[in-house]
Amino acid sequence: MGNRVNKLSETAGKDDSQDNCNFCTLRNDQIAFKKRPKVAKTDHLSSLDHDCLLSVFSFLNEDDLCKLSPVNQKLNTFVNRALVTPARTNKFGDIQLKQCPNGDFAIVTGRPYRRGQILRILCTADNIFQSEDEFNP
Amino acid sequence: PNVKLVTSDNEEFVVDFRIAKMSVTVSRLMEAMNMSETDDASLLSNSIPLPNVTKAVMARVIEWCEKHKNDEPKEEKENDKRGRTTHVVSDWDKEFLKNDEFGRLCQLMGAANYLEIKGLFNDISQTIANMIHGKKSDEIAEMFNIHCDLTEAEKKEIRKKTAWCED
Repeated sequence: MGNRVNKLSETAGKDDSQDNCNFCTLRNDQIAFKKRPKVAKTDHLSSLDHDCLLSVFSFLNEDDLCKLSPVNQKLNTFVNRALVTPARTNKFGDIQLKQCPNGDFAIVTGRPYRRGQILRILCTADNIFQSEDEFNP
Repeated sequence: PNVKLVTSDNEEFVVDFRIAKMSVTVSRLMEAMNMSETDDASLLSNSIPLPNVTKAVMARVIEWCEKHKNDEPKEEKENDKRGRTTHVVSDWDKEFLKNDEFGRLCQLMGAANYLEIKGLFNDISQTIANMIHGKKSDEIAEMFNIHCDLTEAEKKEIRKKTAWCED
């Protein structure tokens, strides 16, 4: 049991350094752009006042905002401001809360393309695991 | 009683007091200038300068206000499954905004923002959001004449971060 508890911090640190993917941190997606921002005179959308852009974005869903994100620097910056929800990642696919035979609750993940198949049991109330075997030794 | 509004191109519009009050900005300026509905002399002797609004745009704003001067204040609903605000644009408003080319629609939005006319501002926001909704990135760029100032590497990085929303 002690080993399992220790893995909580080890695994979290390992994941962070590998692909900068925290599943419980707020969005911090700002990119240091290489080119100077440029908005053409005919680009009325990007030329809108900040209040106006944020108001338009408040009527868009997250999918639409993500489609706007790679359009240009200004829209990317405002999309990041408009997205106030925690950053989402496709790393874990579906996340479910399940009760295990011993009464523990576990957060279980499976990739979308292997729906229903358990790839990783992330944690119970006290522990974090690398595999299903580790959870049910 | 009527109120005189003067645009950036020195055009004077005389509007009903109720219409003038629909703009929070004009309302505040009238208060600051001690202009009240019951004091005709103050209304006649003063005019409200609106340096950020042109004659053409003001005419459109007044047209919208004329139509909505008797409306009850609307409550915004938050019924979208992702908690996004939704705003119902009436058929008359859709028709009214449909005739504006996009550049003019943006000018009208700027004026609604400056004048603080919430109903018109939300109508235009929702209309532009409807234009964007469901489109792909390249379709949005083409539709709104947006020049891309991102490098290929930056685009790739952004796409990687937003991959979860790709179909």
